[in-house]
Amino acid sequence: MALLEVEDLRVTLPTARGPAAALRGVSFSLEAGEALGLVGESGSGKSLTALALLGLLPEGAAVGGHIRFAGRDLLALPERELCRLRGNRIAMIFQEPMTALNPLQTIGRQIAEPLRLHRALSRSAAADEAIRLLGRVGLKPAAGRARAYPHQLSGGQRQRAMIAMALACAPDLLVADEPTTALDVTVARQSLDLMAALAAESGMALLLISHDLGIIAETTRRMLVMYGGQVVESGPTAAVFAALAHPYTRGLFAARPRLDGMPGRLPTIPGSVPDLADLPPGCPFAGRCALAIAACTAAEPPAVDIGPGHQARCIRLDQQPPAGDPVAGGPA
Amino acid sequence: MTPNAPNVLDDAPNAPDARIPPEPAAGEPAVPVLRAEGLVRHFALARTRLWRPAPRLRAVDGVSLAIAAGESLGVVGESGSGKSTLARLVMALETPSAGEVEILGRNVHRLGRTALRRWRRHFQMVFQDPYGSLDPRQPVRRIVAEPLQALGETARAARDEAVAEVLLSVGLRPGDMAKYPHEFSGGQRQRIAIARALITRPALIVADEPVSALDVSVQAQVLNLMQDLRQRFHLAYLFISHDLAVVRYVSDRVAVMYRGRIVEMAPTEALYRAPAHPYALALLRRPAAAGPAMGDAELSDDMPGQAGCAYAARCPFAQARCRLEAPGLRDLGQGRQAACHFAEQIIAEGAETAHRLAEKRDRTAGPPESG
Ligand SMILES: Nc1ncnc2c1ncn2[C@@H]1O[C@H](COP(=O)(O)OP(=O)(O)OP(=O)(O)O)[C@@H](O)[C@H]1O
Ligand SMILES: Nc1ncnc2c1ncn2[C@@H]1O[C@H](COP(=O)(O)OP(=O)(O)OP(=O)(O)O)[C@@H](O)[C@H]1O
Ligand code: SF4
Ligand code: SF4
Ligand SMILES: [Mg+2]
Ligand SMILES: [Mg+2]
Repeated sequence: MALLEVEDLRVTLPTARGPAAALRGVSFSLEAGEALGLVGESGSGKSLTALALLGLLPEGAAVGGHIRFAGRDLLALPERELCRLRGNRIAMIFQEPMTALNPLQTIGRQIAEPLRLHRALSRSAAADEAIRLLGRVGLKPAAGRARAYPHQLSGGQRQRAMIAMALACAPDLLVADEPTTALDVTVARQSLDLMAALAAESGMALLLISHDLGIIAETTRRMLVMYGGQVVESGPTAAVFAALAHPYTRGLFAARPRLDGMPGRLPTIPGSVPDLADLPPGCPFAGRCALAIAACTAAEPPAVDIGPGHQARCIRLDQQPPAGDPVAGGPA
Repeated sequence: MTPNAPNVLDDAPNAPDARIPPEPAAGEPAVPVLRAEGLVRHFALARTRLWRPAPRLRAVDGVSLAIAAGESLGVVGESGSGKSTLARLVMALETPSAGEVEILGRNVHRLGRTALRRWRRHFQMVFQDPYGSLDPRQPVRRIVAEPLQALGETARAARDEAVAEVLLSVGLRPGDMAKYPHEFSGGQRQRIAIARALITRPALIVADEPVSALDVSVQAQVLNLMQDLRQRFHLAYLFISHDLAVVRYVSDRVAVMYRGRIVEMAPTEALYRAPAHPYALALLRRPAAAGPAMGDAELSDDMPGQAGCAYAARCPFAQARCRLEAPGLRDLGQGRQAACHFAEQIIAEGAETAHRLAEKRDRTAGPPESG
């Protein structure tokens, strides 16, 4: 049995213009020791998916479906038990480090606290372990940095402090929401290597949300692509990179700025994401898709098998240009 | 200037009207939008030993630069190299330990509170973290209009109109005005932050990692948008990013920072074709070859006199001279500056030599000879 099984997860949020269907039937599973990548349009529901796993959805959210973690349905657990799982067996690196860090406590203290709580370390052992972790994410001199308050750190340093904090208790599942956005390539790689090493050592599972396709390619074996609250493509990372089956996936890959690219305008996907409170029927990408036909808006496209463990939600997959299209490019 | 210079210019009766950027008289050279001279910012760190003075960290250590109207300067550098501190100094959100900042010819660190508030219409900022910088209790209408309100422009209908227009120009809907920040995803929030920066039609936007929180397709939209806005409004940018690919799209020139200093500044195409500083070369040619991050610009109390080049420990070209003599930022012609004794050779034969030396060093782990 998988460590984590998410089945038909649905989240509806109250907004000024009525309920917004933010997640609409998200399903995936994650084995111990596995790294799963999650990419997708800004506003497609990546962070909400992560927050749902930790029971931290915004107030007023209505949740449906199942989230089974180590055999228990998290959506049915009382808050007290969820709280015990959080920070101990499930840890999260939040997209916004500043709101997740306590501005009034030193970094060292914030890392040491859960160690004392969940792993029953003595005060000094916890402090030493905190310094060791800070060193491993490249915050040096670690002893000095442990005494810093969050506002005394740069953006990237804060992000690394968050990574150290999340890894402190050796969780079974790490949900990392854009953990390296503020980091340059070398430091990002160093932090991801640390997560990968822990996954290998302790069997930690990793759900990695990132808009950096290079990082997804290097870190994960399987990935999901989200759009409009749905998983529109899922499969082995190499297969998704090679096939770029879904039209949105293709647009996403074409848009990335490249070091060797010609300066000028970047290709983008025309239009903008649909309003979740007022979703048109059918395929959520239809309003921006060059291949859209009437049938696309008639009914929600089902997930179609296109290879081993590889699926996409599109009714015109046969219309895709062949793989190896020059604008796309593969894993680095 | 001294950090706490008296506010002699505070609302001086003959101060120029804060709304109108000074027009250069015909024949005179234009006043740069931004001029920074010898900027330094130190921070005292927590004491690690009782009997020693608190160590000091030189977050920004002598940075000078200028940006002309409509020009875009990119700033790259590793985490902790001082980029955000530089941005905050330029924005007068932090006081320099030394040096000065002029925006359209006025030293912003000497302006009094009211004068500075009015002068801010000419320079606005987009922050790295769109979460911390948007007040969660305010609707978008008020967040975006805030810089106008600070200028005392309060007619609501006119304000709403301006907000609607600027929201459209960043790809949001006027209907988003009534929403609160938590109703938006990270990428959407960054657009709100850009809209807020644009609403006063500033001459300069300081953007600290404005697209690093965005997925690539939205990143591309925002970068294109920033380019369009720049042309439409003749905006100048100080554009900070750790991502070299991103900087390339929006910069006329690029400054590379390392440990609080500019180690190279060059026209974008020249830099990407053949960098002059080994750190820039490492970032560009083989990201992994920039080496493991060395922690940050930390300095202990006994290090100010530290001799030699700050990059020597990681530099594949380092020679005896580099450890004795610190290279200053030198003019290399064609608008290029670099702080390296061997900048000319590195431009000429950079990539080849660097690969060879890096490989040799990987094998021997010793300091290689330079080519
Ligand atoms: N508290 C909330 N109330 C109402 N709507 C919300 C709330 N939180 C998120 N949303 C909406 O839900 C959708 C999904 O948001 P989410 O934060 O999961 O996006 P994301 O995929 O993480 O995007 P990004 O890449 O920009 O971080 C967005 O359209 C957002 O506007
Ligand atoms: N208020 C402060 N007190 C003490 N140290 C500080 C303070 N603000 C910044 N620093 C230190 O100054 C150095 C430069 O920080 P800065 O935020 O400018 O880096 P950066 O280049 O923006 O890095 P990043 O890419 O991670 O955002 C860092 O080592 C940081 O820890
Ligand atoms: S179902 Fe239709 S609109 Fe949706 S992605 Fe496929 S072709 Fe485009
Ligand atoms: S001065 Fe010497 S050590 Fe410094 S960057 Fe140049 S070659 Fe390397
Ligand atoms: Mg998110
Ligand atoms: Mg920064």
